[in-house]
Amino acid sequence: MTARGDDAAPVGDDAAPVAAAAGREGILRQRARDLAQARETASADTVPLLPFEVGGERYAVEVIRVHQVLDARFVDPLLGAPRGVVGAIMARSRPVPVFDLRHLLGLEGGGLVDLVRVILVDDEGDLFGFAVESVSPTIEVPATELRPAQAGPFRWMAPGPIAVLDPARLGVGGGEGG
Amino acid sequence: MSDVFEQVWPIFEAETREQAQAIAAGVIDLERPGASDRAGPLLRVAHTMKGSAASVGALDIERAAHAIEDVLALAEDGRGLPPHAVEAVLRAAAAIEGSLCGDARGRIPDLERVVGELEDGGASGGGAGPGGRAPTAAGAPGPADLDALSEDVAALSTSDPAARAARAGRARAAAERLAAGLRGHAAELASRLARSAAELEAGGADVAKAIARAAADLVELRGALAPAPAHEPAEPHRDGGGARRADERSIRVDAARVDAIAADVDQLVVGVSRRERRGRDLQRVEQALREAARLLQRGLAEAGVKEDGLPRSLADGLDRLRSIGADFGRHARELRRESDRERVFAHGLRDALLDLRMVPAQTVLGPLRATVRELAAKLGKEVTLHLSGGEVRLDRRVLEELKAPLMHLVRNALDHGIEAAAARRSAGKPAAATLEIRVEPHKDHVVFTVRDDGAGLAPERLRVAAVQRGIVSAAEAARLTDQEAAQLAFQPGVSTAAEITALSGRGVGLDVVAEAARRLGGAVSVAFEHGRGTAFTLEAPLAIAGSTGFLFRAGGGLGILPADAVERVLLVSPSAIGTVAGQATVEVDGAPVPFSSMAQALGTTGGLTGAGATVALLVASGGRRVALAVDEVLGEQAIVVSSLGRRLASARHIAGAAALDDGRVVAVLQPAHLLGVGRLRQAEKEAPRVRIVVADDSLTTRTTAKSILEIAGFEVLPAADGEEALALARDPGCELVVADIQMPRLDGLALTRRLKGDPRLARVPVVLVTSLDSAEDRAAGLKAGADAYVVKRDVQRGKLLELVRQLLPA
Repeated sequence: MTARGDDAAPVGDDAAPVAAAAGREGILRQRARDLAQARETASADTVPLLPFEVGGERYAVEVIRVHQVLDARFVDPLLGAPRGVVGAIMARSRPVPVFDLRHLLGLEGGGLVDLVRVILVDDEGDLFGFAVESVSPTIEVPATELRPAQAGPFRWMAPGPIAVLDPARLGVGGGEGG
Repeated sequence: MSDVFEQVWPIFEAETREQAQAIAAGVIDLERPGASDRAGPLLRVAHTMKGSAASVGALDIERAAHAIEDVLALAEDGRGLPPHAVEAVLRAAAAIEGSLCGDARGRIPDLERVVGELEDGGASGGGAGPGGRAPTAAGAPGPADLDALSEDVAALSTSDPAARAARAGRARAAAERLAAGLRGHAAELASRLARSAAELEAGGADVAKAIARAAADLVELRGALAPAPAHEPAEPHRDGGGARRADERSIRVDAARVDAIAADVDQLVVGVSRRERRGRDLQRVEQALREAARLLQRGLAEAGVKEDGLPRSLADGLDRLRSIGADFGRHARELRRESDRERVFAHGLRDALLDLRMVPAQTVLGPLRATVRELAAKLGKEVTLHLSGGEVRLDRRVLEELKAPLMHLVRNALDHGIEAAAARRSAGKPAAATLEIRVEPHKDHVVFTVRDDGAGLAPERLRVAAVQRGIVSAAEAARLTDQEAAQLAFQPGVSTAAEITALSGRGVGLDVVAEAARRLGGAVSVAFEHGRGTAFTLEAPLAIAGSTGFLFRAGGGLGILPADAVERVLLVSPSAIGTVAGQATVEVDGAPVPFSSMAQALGTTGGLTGAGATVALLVASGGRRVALAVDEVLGEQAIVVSSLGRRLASARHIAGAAALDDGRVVAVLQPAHLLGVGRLRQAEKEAPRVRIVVADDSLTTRTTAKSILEIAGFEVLPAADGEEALALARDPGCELVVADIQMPRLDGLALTRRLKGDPRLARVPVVLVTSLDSAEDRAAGLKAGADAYVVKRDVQRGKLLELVRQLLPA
């Protein structure tokens, strides 16, 4: 970009506000671009993950997909719900279904006895929760160490190994049989 | 002009106006090379405009939009549009906007010129000329010229002198053209602007001043044109009067915002009824206090204490108790009065909002027109579409929900219902098929009918599919009339199609249609006439609103049914339960009504409790009734039914969930489904049948084994060879396989190995049957994994039955 300060600087009488505004806007725009880029590079380096345990196994979900983590005691059972649905919980002032992740993953166990936390995730506006046994503090995993998952409702394999869930693939299709 | 057109016009007008403005605003960017990414969204806008114009029959706009599309497509390669193409698009956009005003009603008077210009713009191909301006037909200046000019003037404030000069050149040319088309003061202003622009184009010394001057001239020019546009009479559609006024009267609001407000209003309505209940609670407290005071008084009297001989503190306490009771009563009455008043307002507000959300059905019928045209062409079928009832207004949310099901019914009709032209001719029917989509209001419901004059359904195929899927037993299927069997098409996995087609797939869809209708509290049905056609009817409420829920406890949990689905509460004594055709019934108004427990109907644990009278809800939907026993009735509550999202959309029983006053979340059940499920469950209860696959290539042996097992109460699926048996065993519900060793295609030993090798089927016991009792056969059978072995002659002697009973889990 050529630095032609004289054009952008206020010159003359009635032109002043127009040109000044244009200059200020230019600066602001550039700043916004720089800021945006800075954030992008930061997020490209590491991916924040929320690890949790269910069925004795450790999994994780990307923090960006998590809407809220709630206490499983607030889950109310739903009469007539299909298997794998532990109930519903109020979030964003509306009821949101809560699934038993063990059922979705084909693991043993049922009931709400040892599920103490509900992780609410947002799948393109479709809010739902899954109940887990425990939630650990967020970890940052370098993006380079994430390998695409080969099977199941997972997005990545993180070192550990920890399978990183893909909420978009959880509980859709094949849930309800005849 | 038809009524439908009248109804849809305001929506079409608003939408098209926005689209035309979006195109005008966006096309200017396309002149610059390298803006190919901006072309895509604009193309879509033009395409949508074309489609909606076609659906309302605004043919001029359709043609113009089509020509615009052609021009915009040139920009996709990133070379930039030539200026005259951009201008042609701008003029076309303006002409389209103009055609929406006043009495034009979508007619573009100079359509040929507009389209001609667009075609010229497109014909010269992509790649902007070197700033040159192709000579265009010397039309009168339109509002687009002024807008283009503003755009150019605004872009003059750039630090790049070359770009500024180019912009200035365009601004000058635009201003000159305006000046030529205008008269008087406006023409003068335009010329002045052209001079300022020329100065900038030449790269004069005082750039900033010249830009400011140009901007000021532009403002003045706009002002001069605004009140009484001094256009040539050739531009009749810029009068704007009527449209302006209409614009001012109506606003376009994002539907999601209306929904959000509506949700809040629903909460408000719930809040009001909650307060009403609080009022009643207070009244009860008042009564309790009075009662307490009375008891105290009576106690004192019984103890022989006279009223005037009371200790002072006791007398005061009694007085205070009475006055607090009276206070409570007063507050309770006030609360009731207030909540009564609030209820009137809240309900009024809700109704008004509901009315805002009512849109004509045409908004979904219109797009179907294009679908039908497209599909018919793809399938090589000739179809005449008749749409009626587009003016019926219904809740936008209902329409949204019905969009996909309707589309599915239309696809189904075109793909499976309507025959190919040759088949139609040989059946003596006109080659062109008729598809009719009708919308009719019926009290607070609306009925959509999709009728084709195709071949009709094949009920026998539906019966077979339903039996294979385990939806009904063979005996039940045989008992169904053809019209009853047709309803099986709405069951999951059952298809009306003979073969899989890319379009509608197989067996996926009509069950989804049924689910959508149920979710809305509606119903779906089908009727057909062999060789004459099929008619699907989809019934849905006109509006979804906050509703009253009937709260009960069943199977250890809380549930809600829409209050209007609960006809009444029955007290059923054990002696009142009878059976009709093996099904438990209770008598209601002299007629037997199917009776079951709610928990059973929902498939949860907990059946009918044995002793004592049972409380049952008489649930009615779509003309059918069922009595469902519950543990406890907890009364009615105003509720807001919320969807539980995509992941529970296919849950059979659950329509959504609602939060109670105390914050608990309770499932809202689907009454229609309870009726259907209730019947099926009872049929199962009547005969808890285990399914057995019997495979034998000999019809005699097969039939013998089949009848022996059927008499013993098992359900038998016969197979003629191993392959068939394997397929049947893979269907859910098969609990045992009886197989002959010698069979074509896949013999008994191979079948056994395949079954035992499949993790899902390994637990299914296999009984091998053979004609000879040979040691080798027996060893081979056991090696393959068979669980038992029986010689054919022993089958009739009860040996088979004995083995089967041993092998099946208790």
